[in-house]
Amino acid sequence: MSLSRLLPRPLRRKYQSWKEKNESKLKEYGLMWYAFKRSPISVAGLIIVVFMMVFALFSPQVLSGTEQLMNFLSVHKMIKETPEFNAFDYSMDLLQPPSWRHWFGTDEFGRDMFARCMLGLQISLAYAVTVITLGVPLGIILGLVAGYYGGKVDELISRVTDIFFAFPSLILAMALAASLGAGMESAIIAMIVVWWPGYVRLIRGQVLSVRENLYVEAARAAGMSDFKIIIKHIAPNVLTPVIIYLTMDMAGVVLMGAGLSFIGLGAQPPTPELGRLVYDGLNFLPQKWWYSLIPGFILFIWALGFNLLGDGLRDVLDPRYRRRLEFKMKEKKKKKKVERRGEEQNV
Amino acid sequence: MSEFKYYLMRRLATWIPTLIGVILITFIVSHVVPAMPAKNAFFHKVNPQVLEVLKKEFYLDKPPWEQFFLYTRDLLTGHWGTSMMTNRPVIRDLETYYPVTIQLAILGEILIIVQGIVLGVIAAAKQNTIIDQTIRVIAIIGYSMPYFLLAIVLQYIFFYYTNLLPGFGLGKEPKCHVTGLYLLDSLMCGDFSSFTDNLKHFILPAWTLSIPGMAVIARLMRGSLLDTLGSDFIDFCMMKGLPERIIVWKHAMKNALIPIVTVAALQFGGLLGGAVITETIFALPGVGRYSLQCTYALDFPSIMGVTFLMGLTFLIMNLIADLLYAFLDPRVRL
Repeated sequence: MSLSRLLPRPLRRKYQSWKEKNESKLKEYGLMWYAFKRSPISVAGLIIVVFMMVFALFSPQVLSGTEQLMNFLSVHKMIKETPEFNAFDYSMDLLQPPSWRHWFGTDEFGRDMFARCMLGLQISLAYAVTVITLGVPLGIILGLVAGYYGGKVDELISRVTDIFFAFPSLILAMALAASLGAGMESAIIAMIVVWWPGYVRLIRGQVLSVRENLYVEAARAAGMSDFKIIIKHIAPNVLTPVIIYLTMDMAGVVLMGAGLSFIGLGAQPPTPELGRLVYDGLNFLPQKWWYSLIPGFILFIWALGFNLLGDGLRDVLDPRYRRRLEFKMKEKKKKKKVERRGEEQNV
Repeated sequence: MSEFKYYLMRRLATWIPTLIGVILITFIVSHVVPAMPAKNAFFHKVNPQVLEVLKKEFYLDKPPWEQFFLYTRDLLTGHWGTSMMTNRPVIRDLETYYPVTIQLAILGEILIIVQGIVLGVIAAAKQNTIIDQTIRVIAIIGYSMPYFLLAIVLQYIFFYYTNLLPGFGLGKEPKCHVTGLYLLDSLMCGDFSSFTDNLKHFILPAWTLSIPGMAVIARLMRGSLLDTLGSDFIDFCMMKGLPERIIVWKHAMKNALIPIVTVAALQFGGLLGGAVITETIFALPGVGRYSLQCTYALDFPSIMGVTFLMGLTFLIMNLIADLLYAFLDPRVRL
């Protein structure tokens, strides 16, 4: 209301009519937002995800270069400046525990772990975004086609996905990435190949139930083309679970990418990757705990954020849950009204 | 029982094409994706005569469909190539490492099912209370947990600090070797000290592996039990006046457990994949650690051998789960 007053008059009228037209939709969105705010799980997830994304996107720009910087250089400088300086007295910052100078400690070459972890975070975000944006649409399209047309097309697509499901996903990704040659690109390709079949199965099952609805039959009877029916009537009703799975799969991709780099198939050193950092740190356990525990913990928080968000969205996007909320809100309003009336009468 | 036989036949009819598909994928990954395995495996300065020999070994001089046929024949007759790292036939290597992995995976599966069901039932019984919410959060934490973090933390707590459980390697060898599975062998000859020692060595890695699967099963079990408790036949039992204990444990549980079977079998894949990481951290001489070493050494025949073996194990596991499902739920058979 307050916002619409700022608009010039013709636009305001347009806005009003648009609002009237989409009133039910807007109400639904409002309820969703209300449900989202009410669930501590999804709010916590969103906060973690946003926080980590800010770190992933901005800290490498700030820290760029420092992750390769060895403190050996500063030692060299000190030797030049102070002739009586003895290099052996100086600890050279190799494998230092976390401190103010190095928040996450240093590795065996004296590189700052904080800078390396943040770069690794950015790489894992790149993994998640690329794999999801390339792999999921493929799965969705194939799932829609298989579910809608049925028959031989469905049989073919389902059998092919069955074959991909026959492998443990990390093992298949490992074999593929190894045969493509270790590197970031091959890890991404391998994960895409592993990722799409899940969506085919998910979407296909949903389409099979949506397809039987009366409105689809009506659209067909009215002479709508298959393509239009899929886009306008089936896809919107199928996509709700996809949003939930997508959020949780961001976590899945992050973890699998870390697994691949742990095996040595991700980005190659000296590029830091969280899984690889954990593997490198294994040699220094148990004394130098920060080396592998901190990257592992960052991965855990990263995945936890996405999973919390996805799990919270499951409630938010569930229409039954929203109806219950609506009902509760109405009850509350009624109670308030009754209370007010009582107060008025008392006065 | 005849309908079960019919179901078995039908299931096998789709299982065998899937197996062929698995072989096809390993073939594509190993023969088509790398433009030239011989070039990838060695440095580019290869003696042309060596190249010829290698071409013959991988059948690269033949057309693709014939290559696939020969590859399948080799796989089925046990000629899985020679490991470049150990210079032994891959299948011999796998024979020595496989028992460790399969014991680890089966123990992990048992832990998944037990922990998952217990947590799921508690969550369903205390629905919409603090306990239910706590279990939900535990489950989310469970499947966000990277295997290596959990492995290192458990190793710290139980090995480095308290020294309650061993943190590395396998236990004592049993006195006799029958199956190669240490746990089973030691039981068979009554060598209980070896059995407990080996079990102790397996607890931490199996527990690590079970946590993400446990989370999935716990969530599923809660939903499935609540669904069953809301169905008509439970109302009917209540009307008959059966005590609640019998309704939940005898009537509801039986039906609620059915969907668990399939999902528990799917978790087995996660166990096999996670074995690569856990076996490395806990220094268990299994297929997972072997495959990690092969990857670092770029030993391609072994990687493909591991891939095929893991795929086959997973495939057999899923077949067993499907048959169990049909056995438990008569509706599927029809």
